[in-house]
Amino acid sequence: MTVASLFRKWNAFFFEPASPTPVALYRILYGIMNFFNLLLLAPDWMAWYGPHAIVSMATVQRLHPSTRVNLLPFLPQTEFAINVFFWAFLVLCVAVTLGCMTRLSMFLLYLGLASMQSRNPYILNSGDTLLRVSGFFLLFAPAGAAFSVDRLIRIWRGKEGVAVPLYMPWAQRLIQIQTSLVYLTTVWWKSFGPKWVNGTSVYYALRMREFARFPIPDFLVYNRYFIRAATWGTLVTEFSAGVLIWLRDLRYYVMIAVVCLHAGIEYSMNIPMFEWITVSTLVTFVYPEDLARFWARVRAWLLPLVGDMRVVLYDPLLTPSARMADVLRAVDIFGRLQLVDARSPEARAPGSGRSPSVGKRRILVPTPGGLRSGFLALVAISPVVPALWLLAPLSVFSRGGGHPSGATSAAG
Amino acid sequence: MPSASVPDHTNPVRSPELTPRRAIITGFLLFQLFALVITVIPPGRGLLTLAKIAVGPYMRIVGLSQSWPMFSPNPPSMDTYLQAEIHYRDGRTKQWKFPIPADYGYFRRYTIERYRKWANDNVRPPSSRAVWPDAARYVARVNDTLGVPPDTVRLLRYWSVISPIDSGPPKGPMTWQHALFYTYPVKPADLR
Repeated sequence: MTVASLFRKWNAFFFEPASPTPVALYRILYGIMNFFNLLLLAPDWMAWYGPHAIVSMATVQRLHPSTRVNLLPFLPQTEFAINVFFWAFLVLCVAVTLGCMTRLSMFLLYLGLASMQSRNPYILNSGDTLLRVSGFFLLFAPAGAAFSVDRLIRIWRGKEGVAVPLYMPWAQRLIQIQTSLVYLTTVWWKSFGPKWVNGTSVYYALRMREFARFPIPDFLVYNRYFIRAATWGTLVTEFSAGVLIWLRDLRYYVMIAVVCLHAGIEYSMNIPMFEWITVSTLVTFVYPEDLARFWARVRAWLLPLVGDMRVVLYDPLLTPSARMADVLRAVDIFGRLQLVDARSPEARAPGSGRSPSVGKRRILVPTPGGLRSGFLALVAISPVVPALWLLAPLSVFSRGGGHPSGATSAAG
Repeated sequence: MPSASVPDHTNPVRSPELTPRRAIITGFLLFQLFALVITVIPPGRGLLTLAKIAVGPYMRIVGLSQSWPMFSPNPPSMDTYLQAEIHYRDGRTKQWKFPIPADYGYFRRYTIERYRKWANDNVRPPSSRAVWPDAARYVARVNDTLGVPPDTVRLLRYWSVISPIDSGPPKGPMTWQHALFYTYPVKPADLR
């Protein structure tokens, strides 16, 4: 291997443009993980972070004098201010999940998360740490480049097409490396422990009442073979997640083993959110093309439940119409919309769609009908477009907007 | 949100054209990877210690401090919990157990785990001496319910050794040992 080839490999690994869909999916999971983590803490917000918290601000500052990200000392130390902080944090979790002003939301979410952890470091588990460190790298990632409100806005403004642009994946690579290092170094730490080497560690972990979650039958807890398999299996799985996951042929087998490991821990041990947070980072290891293939399979499976195709007519010569059509293409994750150029012969022949179901409904985007007809059009297609499902109940009362040609009309 | 049925209008590749930008990112990556690896590997000697000291402030400031010794080098071989003994001004005494997840239902134990983490991992060890007054003050506040203020809070460690796997399931109830490790005289200001 030469320096030049090493340099090429480095560039390919960190900079060769790739689809941002895995990291965008991770952003969604990241927002959800933060949301539920915070919600689980909600009954005790004041106990841990309030003006009369269990560990006082003064004690934390005295014991951890080094500079850290922490906004909480700058807030008025009142229950109201602390509550506002946490409710704002919850709103940010939703914003990150939906991809609204993604970069800013992510930055503020990270500030909030790091502040919470700096204010009270005595209640954190490894899941909290992973959430924080992955969040730092997610700040640099094109997390809003797909599956986001930001992207729909960019499409609507004509700044982006329907195809998701490719980005340099260096920030995603950092999240992957971080995840690998977690597993690799935990094996390293464990290699110093005789109980891990002699295969009894899991026995002690399962016997600790303080961690007990759901019951484990005695015939497993006291079965030396099961305990050895579980202990050494943990080490092998964690080592694989650190090393073998980088081999394409083995990646998904390793991921399945890691998911099984965490499912086992989630069942047997009471460590809030840790397993969910850890498993969610594995999404960054999924190859974009495999993600697309997986979604295609899920979509094919779900299609019978979604409903018939809807024909959407649009005028490509009218900018708002063309952009609305692009937005609809982007949100049409089930592929149930057939967007047809309103000036095409196909559009002028009602009921001549390519499939038997096509042509039953026509939706013109836009018409001079104004906002009302536009809204009715969205209502009409809402059952087949998850992004519009909030409108779906209204479709029961709507008959498609009443376009003269039998089509539903929509306005731009 | 890509769709398989969607025509591929454009495929704009946002690849870096500017070499300086890529050079800056490469520099950041090299430093970040070095700092990350140095931070996560278990403590050593000599150069490793120096490197850890060097990157420590950066990692703390940006929020990347981390360590992953989960159940290592060995999982504990004993069950533990903390209990407080509250002595009131009128001579009464009350025992108060720090919340333990296993004492709660399946949902609440998921949220109460933070109390276990705080008490068992961050109050119980002798190295946590600096947070004992805060813990005692908290105990005094939550137990200021008898109309008479608490006078003294005593913190006790409880532990029960887990027998080796060969000894089989325990025949009777767990046997707990305990030791007093801290006594705190409560001041009126602590109860506000």
